Amino acid sequence: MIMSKKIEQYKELLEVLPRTNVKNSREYKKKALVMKQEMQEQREKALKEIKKRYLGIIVEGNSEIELLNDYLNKSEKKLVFLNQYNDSYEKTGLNEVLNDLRKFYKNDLFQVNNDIRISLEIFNTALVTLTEKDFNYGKEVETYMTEFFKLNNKNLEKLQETFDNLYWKCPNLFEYINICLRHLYSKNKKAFEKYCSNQIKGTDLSKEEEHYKYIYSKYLQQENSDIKILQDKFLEGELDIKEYEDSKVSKLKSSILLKEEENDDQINNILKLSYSLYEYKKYLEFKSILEKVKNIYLDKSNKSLTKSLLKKIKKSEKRIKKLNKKIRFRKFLFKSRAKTEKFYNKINTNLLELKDLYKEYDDAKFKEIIATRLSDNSTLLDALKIVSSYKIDFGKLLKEENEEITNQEIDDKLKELKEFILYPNNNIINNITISDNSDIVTIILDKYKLMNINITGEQLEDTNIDSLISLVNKVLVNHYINSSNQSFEKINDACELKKVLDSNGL
Amino acid sequence: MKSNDVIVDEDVSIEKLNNQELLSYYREIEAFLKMVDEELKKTDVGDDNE
Repeated sequence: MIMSKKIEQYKELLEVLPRTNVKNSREYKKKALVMKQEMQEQREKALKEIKKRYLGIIVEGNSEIELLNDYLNKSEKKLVFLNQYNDSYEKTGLNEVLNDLRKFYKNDLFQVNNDIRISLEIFNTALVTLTEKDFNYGKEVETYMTEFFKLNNKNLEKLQETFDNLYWKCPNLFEYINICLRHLYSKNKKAFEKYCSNQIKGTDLSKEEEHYKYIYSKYLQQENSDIKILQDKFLEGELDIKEYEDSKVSKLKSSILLKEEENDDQINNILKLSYSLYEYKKYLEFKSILEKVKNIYLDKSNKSLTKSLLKKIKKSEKRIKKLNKKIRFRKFLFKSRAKTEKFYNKINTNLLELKDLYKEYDDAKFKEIIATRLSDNSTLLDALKIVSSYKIDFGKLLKEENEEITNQEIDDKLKELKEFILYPNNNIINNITISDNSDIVTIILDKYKLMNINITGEQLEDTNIDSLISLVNKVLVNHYINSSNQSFEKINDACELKKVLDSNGL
Repeated sequence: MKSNDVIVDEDVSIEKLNNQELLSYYREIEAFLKMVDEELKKTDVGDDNE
């Protein structure tokens, strides 16, 4: 044990110094303050040394990991445009903005106006410039959008007054603006498709996906084994170094190994097991969604849903166009306002019908894509790819299971699903077809028994799988530390040194 | 004081301590400073300006 003789002496001295009256108490204080001053200086010196030691232990960052991450982020954007299950409506994100606009009652006026602004921007990126004249879906839509364009995206809060004047006359105002934007998309679909194909000119989907997976695999490999990343997890308290030391991990390793092998082979097999466990865990998370997709696929009536709906939509839009023509003509000739009003009312009747038709069409489109694009030979991965391409419908499927789920939770779940789809070490979901009823647990157990790894079906149950994943990770982290220049002792020291530095704000 | 204790300000300078010893030394100073502060609080010196 380390002892400071000086501290011992000072302690002894302070113990014997009398404090029986003011005079000797003052003497006591004087001496104690001198000791304090000296020990504070010693503390500063020790802290300086602690910092030096800490900086000497911790390893530098791996810049390649950031480069790989940058590549993945860029490539993900490209993959959106390469998606074979979406058209430009989804690829440009217009579907999501218009879905928000349709649910205007969930937001405030600022957010609603912002949604309109974003959708106009999406049209602009596709080189389609809209003006107030394009918004001829009823008198209220015309008035609101004329004001909107007048403000030219500035001080949109000024629309409050216009909104107050129009809302009671037309509570469906924003839904009609939404329908009008959908119509404008259909009208300009070619420009949107051209914009999307320009984003991926000369890019091959399978090559891009393959390359993405190659980089993702490299990224994961580094992220899991990089000593700097591991060290930071210990330093931040996310992991406890004591749980990863040889004495603890060797017992864990023996518990899953059928017999001892060369260390490299063992680790290689345990690494593969970690991939399968991740994949199986994610599969369990999305199993119920896959069941729902299978049911949609098996219902043959879903194969042809949109055609008749599109026909009805077109018909209704045509009627609105005709009515608008009549209105313009009457305005031009200064004809009676009463009859013009009648035409406006007719437009509103059509808009009400269109509102329901579009809602029906969106549901139908998702089901039809599943029913027509999947076949008995499609894999679970294909099914998940479709689901992940339709965020709104994915959200609806999640809501069937949990009505309380928030939009943020849906976003997080979708992100998780997309990561799962692109996970480079998938072997199960990209080989098992949607019509295959094989027992996946048995497949995994049999495969790893052949690799001398003994795990049980119970360990793969959704309530236990996290423990098994944690066990396997401990074995792998222990291996990565042992293969690095860093030692358990040094990491442990760094954690303790850091605690002292943190408590002193250094 | 035990026979295997390292006496820091007599036998060795802090640069020579290993990490665990350095931390232990630091903690010892911290405990001492805390003790001094507590004792000072308990010490009645009357009016300091006297």
